[in-house]
Amino acid sequence: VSRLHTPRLSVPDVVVAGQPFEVRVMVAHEMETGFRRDLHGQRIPRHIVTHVRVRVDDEEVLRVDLGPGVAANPYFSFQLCLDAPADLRVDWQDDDGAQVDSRARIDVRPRA
Amino acid sequence: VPAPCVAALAVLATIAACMASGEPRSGYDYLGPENRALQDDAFANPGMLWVERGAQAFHAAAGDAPACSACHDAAAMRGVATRYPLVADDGALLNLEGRINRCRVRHQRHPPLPYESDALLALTTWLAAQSRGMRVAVAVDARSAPFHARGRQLYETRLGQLGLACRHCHERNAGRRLRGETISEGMLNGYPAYRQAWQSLGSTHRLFRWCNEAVRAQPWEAGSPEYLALELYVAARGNGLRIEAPAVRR
Repeated sequence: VSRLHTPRLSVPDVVVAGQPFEVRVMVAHEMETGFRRDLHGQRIPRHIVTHVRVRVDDEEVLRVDLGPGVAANPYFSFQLCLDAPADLRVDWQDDDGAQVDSRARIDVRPRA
Repeated sequence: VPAPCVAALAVLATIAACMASGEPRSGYDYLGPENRALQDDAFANPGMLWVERGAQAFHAAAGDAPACSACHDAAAMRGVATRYPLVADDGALLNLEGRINRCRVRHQRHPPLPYESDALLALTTWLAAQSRGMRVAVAVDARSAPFHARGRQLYETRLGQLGLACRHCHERNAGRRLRGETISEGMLNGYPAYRQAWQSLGSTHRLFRWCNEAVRAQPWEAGSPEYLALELYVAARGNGLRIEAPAVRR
């Protein structure tokens, strides 16, 4: 059973051409480090998100490789700049092979 | 009663009166700027992940049973959480989790959701979030008085190897430092809340269990009559506070 779920994506519906805007992405994930032990002393297996990939119209604009030091429910924000309307797609992958994605359509209006 | 005792009692009564006159303060007031910002940001607040899942669960059919939304208008859920825990018509004390599970058993014919399961947390958090910004208004009346008295007794009973009652920290020493932390008044208006210490969302009863373990006491079970009574007492202490669920706490 996949424990990777509920990706969130926040972008403006419309942006100004050439003007940077903020993209915020988040996914619900326990990010179990693999270093903890349970009440019986057994090691709790590692279970983390390993890759985040952001694409604009199939062009990769950001890739993050995560390690066990990232806290639960990973959250990233970054700046993007567009010249033309585009489809944004964010893919998450964890070390169980589970994958989820979220997408958004961003319109662009010309610079005033 | 000897005169010195009377004098001591008078002093104690004065202190108690001073403390009682203070308005309750939310745990938010004891947070650092980073955690406040996280709670205030509807996107970054991790508790919102459970609110979203709760909204889906509220509107989705539960197997062959109708969805919660088949009976309940979502808009009518606003304000519900301000009144819980409350005494139901049959005399049982119910918190939000108890009300959700009662509905689930009676009307959806499903077994109750386990306490602290993601499914129950999600519904509880969504329900609490519908009352965001509204003031806690838990009834302390003739019907709830016995539960309230029991809760108060628990609140004031020394527990565990450290021999501390809830009130020793959260009434007498609120605002003072305990190691690296500032002690809060132990209010529940942000719960279910995302606790950094847990890296997860947790219910009021998980908080009680955590607190009991912190004073090295044997905690009660989540959903137990003891914790329900305690929840009623602690929630009523915070009457007038605005609901912040899902809050972010340390």
